[in-house]
Amino acid sequence: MTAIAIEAQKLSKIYRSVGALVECDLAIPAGKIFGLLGPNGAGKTTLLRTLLGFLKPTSGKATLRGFDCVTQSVKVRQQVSYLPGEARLYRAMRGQAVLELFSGLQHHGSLKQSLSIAERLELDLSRRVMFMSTGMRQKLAIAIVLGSRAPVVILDEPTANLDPTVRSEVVALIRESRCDERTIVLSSHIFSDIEGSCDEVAILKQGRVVCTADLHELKQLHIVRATTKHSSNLHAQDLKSLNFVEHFRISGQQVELQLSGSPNDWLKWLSTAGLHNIAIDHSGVQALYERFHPPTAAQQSSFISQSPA
Amino acid sequence: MIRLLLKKYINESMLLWLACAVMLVLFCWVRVWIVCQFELQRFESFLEQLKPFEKFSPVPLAQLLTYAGSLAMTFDEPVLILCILVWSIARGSDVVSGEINRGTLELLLSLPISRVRLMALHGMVCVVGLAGLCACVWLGLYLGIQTNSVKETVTPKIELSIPYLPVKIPVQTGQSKTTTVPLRERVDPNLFLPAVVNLFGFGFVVLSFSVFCSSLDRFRWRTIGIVVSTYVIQLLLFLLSKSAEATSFCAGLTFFSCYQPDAIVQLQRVESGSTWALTSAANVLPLGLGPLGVTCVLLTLGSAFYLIAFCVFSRRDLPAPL
Repeated sequence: MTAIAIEAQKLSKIYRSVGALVECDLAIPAGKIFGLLGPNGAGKTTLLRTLLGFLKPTSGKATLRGFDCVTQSVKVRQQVSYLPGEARLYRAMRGQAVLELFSGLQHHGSLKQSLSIAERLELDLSRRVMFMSTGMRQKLAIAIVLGSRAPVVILDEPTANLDPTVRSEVVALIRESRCDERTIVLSSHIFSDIEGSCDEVAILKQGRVVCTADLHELKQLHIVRATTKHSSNLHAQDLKSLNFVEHFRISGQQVELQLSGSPNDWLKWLSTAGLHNIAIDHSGVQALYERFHPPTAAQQSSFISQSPA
Repeated sequence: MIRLLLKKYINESMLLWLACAVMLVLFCWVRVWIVCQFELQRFESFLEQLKPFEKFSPVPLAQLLTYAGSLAMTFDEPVLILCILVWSIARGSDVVSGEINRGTLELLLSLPISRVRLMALHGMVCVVGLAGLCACVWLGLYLGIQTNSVKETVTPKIELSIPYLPVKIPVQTGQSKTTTVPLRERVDPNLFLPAVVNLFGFGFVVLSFSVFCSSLDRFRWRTIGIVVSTYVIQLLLFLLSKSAEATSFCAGLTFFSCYQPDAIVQLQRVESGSTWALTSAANVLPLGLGPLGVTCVLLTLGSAFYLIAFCVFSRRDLPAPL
């Protein structure tokens, strides 16, 4: 049985009448890279800040490696290396001094490791923070956080403000950081970052965890996009009865199906379903995400969207 | 970790402290030098004209005709007060709302350190810095007293006694001579030590109130605005308490009633041995308190603000950086 590194039970954070986090249940296994996906205001950052003790939960409980996030906040933070969504550093300090300060302050800090990451990210450490670009500051913060040997790393949108080259380098760094049962929690809007690094993903919507999925299993899913001459050819009831149809959307003559299992199981059915212009693709995080957060409101209203389960 | 955090706070505040320290030493020395340039007795007629406003002065105006009394007024000089206020408000407002405003608290508090310890370390640097600034005030006065001289006109005279009458008649026996006397022979610098401690108490109240406001707020500019506004209101209440009998109750509503460095200097001259007394019978200071008594009130008030600030900061939610 996999050990649980982070656990939230009915965790809620209510601001007056607004629920930033609503009865959130989550279990993040140790040694995994766990992605948190959701639009702005879904509760990702609130969840992370509650885990770190920055916010007091309205109700519920959260533990990190067995330590209560409210009553044992210092012990929790001994286990964690955290990158805030918008990391701001001391402006008057030089990059080198910032790394020295934080590697000294962190419980598991390592200046050598931080310097090596900074070098890999081609960061000029002789420059003062105030004269660094936003991307350079982000790189510096990443060097601080990933330089630590803390057993849990929490990264809130680590690749924001980074150019594509550095972004892929950071994703590679995150992948490499998974060692010695290290747990990494990655909150991001960028599907490719999640797909490129995570083992599991949770999708948040309006403060609730609406879905958790294993990305390796997700890769077994296929998306089929096609058109049908007569929308009456496909009936929702028929699709619901097919056990390999995980999810479907029908908009006029446009059809989108999410199919599980081996293609051998459903290719025959597909050839007889009266569909044209068929395009088959691997399902990804985006497809899963769009199941809960359809791309636009207009599309949402025009699609019949349902999961058979 | 503690050493590193202390180093961080010291580095952050060093420039401000040095600027304030240099300003205070220089200002106090110059203030002593200016006092030495005048024969104080010549101000007697001028001070007579200020009699109607004496009630606004913490000490009788006649005090200003003495070197010690005149030097004690240094503690009411705007430059000195400004330096103490700048340090106390700038550093006090920085601890929570300053860090939130800059967005640096998030990364700092992700480290394994409790909020109370963080605030205590910051407070330690601020309080030691404040004590250092107060020591600079005394140093400036000390250097001024040691290095300056005053000119005194001495008239040789004898006193003739009239037999059977309790009357002595002074008789001048020669020309008046102007002599230069080192100020240290007229004023003991240690006389100002209780006043310096009182100044520390004053700064401590402002500092701790700033910390308290900072612990509640998320914008540093707003914290500074609230502290400065409160300071001005307190000052107005103090002036109001002095202006009429009907409004004298306002004295109990302002901490300025306990900031009485010149009265403390006067008290020591009136009542010898009262240097570190908690109470005094001379009724120079409010509520019959002694020099240490008024300072203790300030220190208690400051400690209470710090205590509330600890409670507020350790319980509040930290907003995300803007």
